[in-house]
Amino acid sequence: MGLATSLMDIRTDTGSTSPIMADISLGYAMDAHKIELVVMSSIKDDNLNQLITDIPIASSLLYRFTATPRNSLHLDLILGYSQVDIEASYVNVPGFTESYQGVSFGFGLEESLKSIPALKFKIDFIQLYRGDQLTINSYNVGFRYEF
Amino acid sequence: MSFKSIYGFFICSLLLILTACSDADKEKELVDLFTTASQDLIAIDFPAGTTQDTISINTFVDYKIEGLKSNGIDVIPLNDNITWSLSAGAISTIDQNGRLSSGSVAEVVTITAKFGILTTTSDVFVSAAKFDRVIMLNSTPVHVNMCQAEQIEPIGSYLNDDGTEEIRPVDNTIINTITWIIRNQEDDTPSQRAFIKTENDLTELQALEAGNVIIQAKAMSLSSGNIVTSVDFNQTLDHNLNSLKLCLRSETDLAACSLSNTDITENAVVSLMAVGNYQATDGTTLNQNISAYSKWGTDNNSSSTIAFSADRQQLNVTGNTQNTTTNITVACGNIEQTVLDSEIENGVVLDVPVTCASGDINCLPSTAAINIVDTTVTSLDVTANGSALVDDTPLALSFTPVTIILKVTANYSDDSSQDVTTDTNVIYNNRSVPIIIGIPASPGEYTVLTAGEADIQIIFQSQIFIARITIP
Repeated sequence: MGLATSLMDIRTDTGSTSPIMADISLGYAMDAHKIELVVMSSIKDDNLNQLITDIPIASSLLYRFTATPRNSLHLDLILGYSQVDIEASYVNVPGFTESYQGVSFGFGLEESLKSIPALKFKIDFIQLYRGDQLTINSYNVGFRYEF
Repeated sequence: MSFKSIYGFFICSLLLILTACSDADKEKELVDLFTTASQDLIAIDFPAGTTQDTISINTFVDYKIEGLKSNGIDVIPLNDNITWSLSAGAISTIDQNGRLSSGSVAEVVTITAKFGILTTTSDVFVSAAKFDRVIMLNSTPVHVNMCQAEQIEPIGSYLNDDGTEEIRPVDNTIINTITWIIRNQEDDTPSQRAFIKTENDLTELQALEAGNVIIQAKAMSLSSGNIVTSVDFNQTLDHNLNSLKLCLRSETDLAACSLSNTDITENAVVSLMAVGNYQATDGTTLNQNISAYSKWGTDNNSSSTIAFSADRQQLNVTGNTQNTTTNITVACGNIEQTVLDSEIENGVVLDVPVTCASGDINCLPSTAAINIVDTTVTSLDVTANGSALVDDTPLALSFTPVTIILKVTANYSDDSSQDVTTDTNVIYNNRSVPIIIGIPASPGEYTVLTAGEADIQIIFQSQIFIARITIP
């Protein structure tokens, strides 16, 4: 089970915004393989001049493969599928809402706390969505507890 | 090949295919929002006066748009990320740089420019009427002072096959073909008072002297197939020039700059500009770089070589012979020397001094001496009451002095230095008169009048130092 804070990066050729989200994950780990369901919820929106963007909710189903199981610092390769809902508002324009789905991939670093080996500190970078003109990335920092 | 590798290859291929699939249609609106927001715009439009209701067949017009910022006040030009399109079924075409190329048949087209989520449109009638002749120099009266230029938009008469006439600006395809004839109004002789130049489809009237001229436009009439010369257009070239001076091209304060002489080493280049002070109709004055339309000369073309820059915004002086002096002269207006027509077109730079006839109010001169030396000043060090100053950086004093005494040291290209504080060639421009005032006959010394920031511009042989002192 994991808790993390995510800095999202909604990026186009002409600009980007970075809403902040909180995510909770539940999963199952077996040796070097982990599968998890991640649900992210908005903490803070972000703006580009008069454009305000927010991600009310995002969810991912991810497979994580630990490439360095024998090291204390684990390097995870991440592959999965995500759905990201984006809300946007701009002056004199009706509100915009759209949902983007796509294959996600990334990598993460994880290390156990020496005092509580089951509690792991993790940092992830995941490209949640990659489109023709739009990319959604997430930078996550948090903890994972392995029961 | 094992089952495991086939399985892995299949999964990776599937994932790659899935990665390549994206919601392109769903992205467009969000991407457009970002495009619009990146420039902080709330509206776009064609700049005032840049669109035409009617253009001819087989010509082209370049369209631009500008955007209104979210503060509702600021307007910015837009050059990128614009999608241009025409109404459905148009024979004319428009490229993504905004160039409308009209077709060979008459039609009405709607031009649409899209920037992000913002759009604007303009209707244009593509007319089959053929150009006949120029009938007006410009849609509104042209006001231009000597040694200035004004853009003009000649108006033409276009004739349809049924004889009906259209009056509208001359097309881009015609404007470059017009031959302009300029004569002096008082005696009808060919005039060098003005020149009309068309470049990049823009036409400007360049006034080189004050006076009255008659302008005619000669061009091929597409309607009749003959060369047609327009009627006379009377044009006044105003004076309104209060003074002319020389400054270094690097100067940014045109009101305060001045130059009487400067040093350069052999093969070095110094760039000069002519600054005209004009009287505006509202009673204010305006300083402007009028190098392009002034007339330049030299009294010693072996000592140095002079030439215009490519844009004619400066005169470049290259030192040729050490220990010689060149006097560069410049004048706006009717000089005494003979000028070729080609020089009127390309810029007047003579290898003799330019002079104005005594008492001729329509000619204003200025001169500066360029000394070709074996060493030149590379920098200035300045102290104020013993404290070192940094160029254009305020020095905050801890107490209010009675006087400020500057010391100016010139550093030369041969690594030598010299105190030039009292050198008569050092120019001190006190730009803070209410704060400090110069002590007569004491260069670099000032009496402090009140608190504030003292600002003194120091110029010595093309080196400029701005001394700023904050007086509590």
